[in-house]
Amino acid sequence: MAKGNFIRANKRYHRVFWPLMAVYVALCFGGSYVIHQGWISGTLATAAIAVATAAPIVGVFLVMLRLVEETDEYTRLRQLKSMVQGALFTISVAVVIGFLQLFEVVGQFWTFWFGPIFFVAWGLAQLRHHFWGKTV
Amino acid sequence: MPQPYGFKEARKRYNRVAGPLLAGYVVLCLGGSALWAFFDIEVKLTSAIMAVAICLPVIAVLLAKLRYLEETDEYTRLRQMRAFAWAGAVTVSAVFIVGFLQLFDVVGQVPVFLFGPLFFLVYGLLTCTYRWLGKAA
Repeated sequence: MAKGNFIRANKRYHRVFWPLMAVYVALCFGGSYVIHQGWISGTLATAAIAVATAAPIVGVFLVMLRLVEETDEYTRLRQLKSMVQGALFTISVAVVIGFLQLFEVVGQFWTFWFGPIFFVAWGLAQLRHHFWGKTV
Repeated sequence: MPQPYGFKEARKRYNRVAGPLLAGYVVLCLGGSALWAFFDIEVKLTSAIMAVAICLPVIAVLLAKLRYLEETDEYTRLRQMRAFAWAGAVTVSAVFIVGFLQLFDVVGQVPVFLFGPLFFLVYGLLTCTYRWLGKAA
């Protein structure tokens, strides 16, 4: 495993990240189109398409965690900090909305939204470290 | 920015805050649910205030954990952060899978609340895994 090289680790990350994103976009549009056209019916087939659409995102997480392991110590700690802060924000929001649901204040909430919330929170945490953070 | 303490001192400072907060959470959970169930509260604002009040100790514990991560030694910090990052990745992956199952009408409403315990469960299991099977950070 290539360890401690910032540029090489970044390259390895991008080589996997972009194809995964392309597959994700293709599956998002393709899956929705196939289902809405009625070419596929049945719960199992639809569930398989849903899981397949989410699979590239799971792959992206694995690649990101690999990047964290392979890059230099400074970047590793900064990335992990941002990830942790993004995750904590998302979990806090999930707990608040969860209790609002339990007390019947809000109705159905699209679970899907927690994904973008996590990525936005993570990105903002990274920006904060980038512009206002001190060196580790 | 919290000043770095030793491993033991940082843990003491965390436990001093986390214990009372979690006790408060349990009291609020049981008390809030009892109030809600027995008094048949129909005003949305009251229910919302109760729901948010119950969440506050959990959010405070998460903030205390962040402070602990800043204050503890580098080895513990990295190990804890790895577990946190993996727990976040697993939870958000589950969110995406469940989210797409909802979008494609395979499953109906899912209690969002469950993602909180899922995150903490994965975090706890990973911390144990690092402790028993892991290599040095």
